[in-house]
Amino acid sequence: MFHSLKTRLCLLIFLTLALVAGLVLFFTHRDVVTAMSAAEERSAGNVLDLAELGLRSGYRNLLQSRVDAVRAHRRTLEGMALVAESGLDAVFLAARNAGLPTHEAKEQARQWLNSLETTAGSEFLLFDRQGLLLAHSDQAVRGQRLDEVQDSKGIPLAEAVWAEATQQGEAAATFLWTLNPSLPPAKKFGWFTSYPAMGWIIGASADLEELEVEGARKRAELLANLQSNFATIRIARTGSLFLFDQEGRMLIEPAAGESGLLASRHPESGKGLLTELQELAAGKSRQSLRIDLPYPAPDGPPRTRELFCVQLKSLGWYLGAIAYVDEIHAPARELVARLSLVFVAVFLFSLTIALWFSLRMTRPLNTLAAYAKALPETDFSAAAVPGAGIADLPDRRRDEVGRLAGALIFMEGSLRENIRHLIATTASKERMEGELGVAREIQLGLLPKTLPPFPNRPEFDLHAMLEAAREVGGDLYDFFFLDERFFCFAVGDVSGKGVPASLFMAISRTLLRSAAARDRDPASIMTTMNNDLAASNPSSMFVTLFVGILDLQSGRLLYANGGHNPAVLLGKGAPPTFMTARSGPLVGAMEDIDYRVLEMQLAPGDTLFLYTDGVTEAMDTGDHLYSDPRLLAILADQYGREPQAVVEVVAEDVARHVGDAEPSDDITMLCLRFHGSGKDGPPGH
Amino acid sequence: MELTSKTIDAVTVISLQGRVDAFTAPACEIGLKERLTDGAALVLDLGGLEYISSAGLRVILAVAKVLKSTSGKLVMANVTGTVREVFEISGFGSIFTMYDSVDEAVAALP
Repeated sequence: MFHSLKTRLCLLIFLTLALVAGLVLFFTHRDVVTAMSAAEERSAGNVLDLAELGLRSGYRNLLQSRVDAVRAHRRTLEGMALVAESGLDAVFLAARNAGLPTHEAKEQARQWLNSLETTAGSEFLLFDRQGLLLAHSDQAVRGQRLDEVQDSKGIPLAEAVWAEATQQGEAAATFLWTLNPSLPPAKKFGWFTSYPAMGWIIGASADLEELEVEGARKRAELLANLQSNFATIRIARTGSLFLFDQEGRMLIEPAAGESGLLASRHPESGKGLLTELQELAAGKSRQSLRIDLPYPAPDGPPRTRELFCVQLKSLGWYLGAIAYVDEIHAPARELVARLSLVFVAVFLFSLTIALWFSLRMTRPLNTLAAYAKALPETDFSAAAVPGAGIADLPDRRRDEVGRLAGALIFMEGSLRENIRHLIATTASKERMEGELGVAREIQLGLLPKTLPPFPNRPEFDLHAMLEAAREVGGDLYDFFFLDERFFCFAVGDVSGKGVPASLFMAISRTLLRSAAARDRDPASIMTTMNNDLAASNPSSMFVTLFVGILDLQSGRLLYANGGHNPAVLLGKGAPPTFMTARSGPLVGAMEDIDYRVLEMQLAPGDTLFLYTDGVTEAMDTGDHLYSDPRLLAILADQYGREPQAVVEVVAEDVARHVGDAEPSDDITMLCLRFHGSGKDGPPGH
Repeated sequence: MELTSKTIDAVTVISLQGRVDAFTAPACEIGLKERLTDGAALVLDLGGLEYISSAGLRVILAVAKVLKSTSGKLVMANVTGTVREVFEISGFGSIFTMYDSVDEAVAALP
């Protein structure tokens, strides 16, 4: 599967894209999460700061209105106390003028004070050094002692006020009024002035409930405002603000599902979350607390929350913010998800393109492969346009594939042409070989074939062989009787080989026969042949020739050697010797040369060995010549043997020498053994 | 077979090296005939020749004929060893004049 170009291409694109996508997604996710988290944290902090600011300003307003209310009350009470003081002064002045005794004057003063109308919730009171309540707007409590009444610090009211009022002339106190059992205990604020003439303290007090109610109303209003504000503030998506007091009472609940927040415990430290948050708020720099809680469903999977908290010391409140980590991370996740979608889309698109592209690329390759596989079965000799099935590729595809197709078509065309040429050449060669075969037969037909040739002539034995290096050769041998007594034999070697040599050889042999028919002198035969051959010899061919005429009666041998290898004489009791005498140069080379006749006497048993240079110059694979010495050596112990045996021995030795080398020249041998004429008398005469 | 030529005193001296047999003879014939000019005096230096077959002799003969037809002249120099044997056997020695050195051959030519 991996050996397909298509798969590899797709895999490559897929891997590249996957790598890019992986890197982009990883870094996007990481960086965006970091950035978003930081942004959300900042925004949570900002929200917290803003809410804190709002809270503080609301609280200042609350405080201010409270102070204002208290001041108003106090002025009222101051006024009341002043009125009471002036009234008492008037009462005592009138009593003195009327000459009333002091106790009556005191009585009149008390009654006057008791009779003073007050607004609801406020009253006058008058007591002496002993804490005895001399006058009060409430009839039920007149004459009682103030011992039970304590101020906000737990000190008996009379005592606390007396000291301050006698020293400063005036005093203020907050106290719980419990003297009238028919009324619920009430928190009151009082303004007291000393009335030293009688040793009394005049006081004006007012119910604080109203003030408290007003404060609570304002506070509720503040909380309601905050609550409606908080409801609109969201950290991330559903994160929210919440407010709780020192005791862990939730003043403003966080968004839905978090009501049990303060009661829950930190899963790791085990501390209550209230404590954790208070510790968080006490920290100097703003920090957050990350915590996994199984809300909103109690047994649901835990959700990681990030909590922030600041303390509002003056109110004893804590302002908290809760954010959900998954929501903080959500934008990053969504971005990554969107990016992933884009990448998947790009993936699919690219893979489709790659698949299409590789199919487009590999389909013609497969076609080309099929085409190439089918080539061996193609009949190239049949006439056909090359490139069947892929002919349109080079035009359709201008790329490497097209060029490959073009090359294949060119190859097929060349193959067809070469094979046609080869067939033609083979046919021509076969024809020529056939013709050469016939030529060989004709040529061999020129040579005497019957061996031994003259079994009825006891004067001599003769054996000859010719082995052409090619179909036809340039060597020749011949022998024939000129008459009963004279026997002519010849060996020749035409320069060169093959058809030209064979033609020249045929001419030479014919000329030899015709010259020998007219003449019995081998030298003049040779001279005639030379002139005839040289006369019309444009290609400067020639033949080396040995012609011998043996007188079978006497054993006298006349011979001529025209440039031919010296014959070897095997005589009795002597080593083989070359007959080195020359008659003249090669035959056919130049006109008008007189060849010299040579003569020698053969004794019975003497054997002549004639050969062409194909023997002595036969080469082995190392280009070493067979050589004259080796010929003499092999012939050394051949005296007395049959000519056929001698020829075969030499032929075998030459073949051994040549070995695997290509035969380099025609090999011709002729061996004649003279027996003498005396034994049985000349036959036929 | 290698063939080199030079000119000394208007005489072309061609040296043959290696073997001239039936296989190399055609190339040798072409190489020699390329260097022939009409009526040239030519010295064939055969000192470097290891072996010559009858086909090689035919080439020399053909060159000699061409020269003869244009009144040129051909002599041999440094014919030694095996080549000399072949020359003697074939009777070439009686057809061509042979000198022992190129200088002698050049000096002998008009």
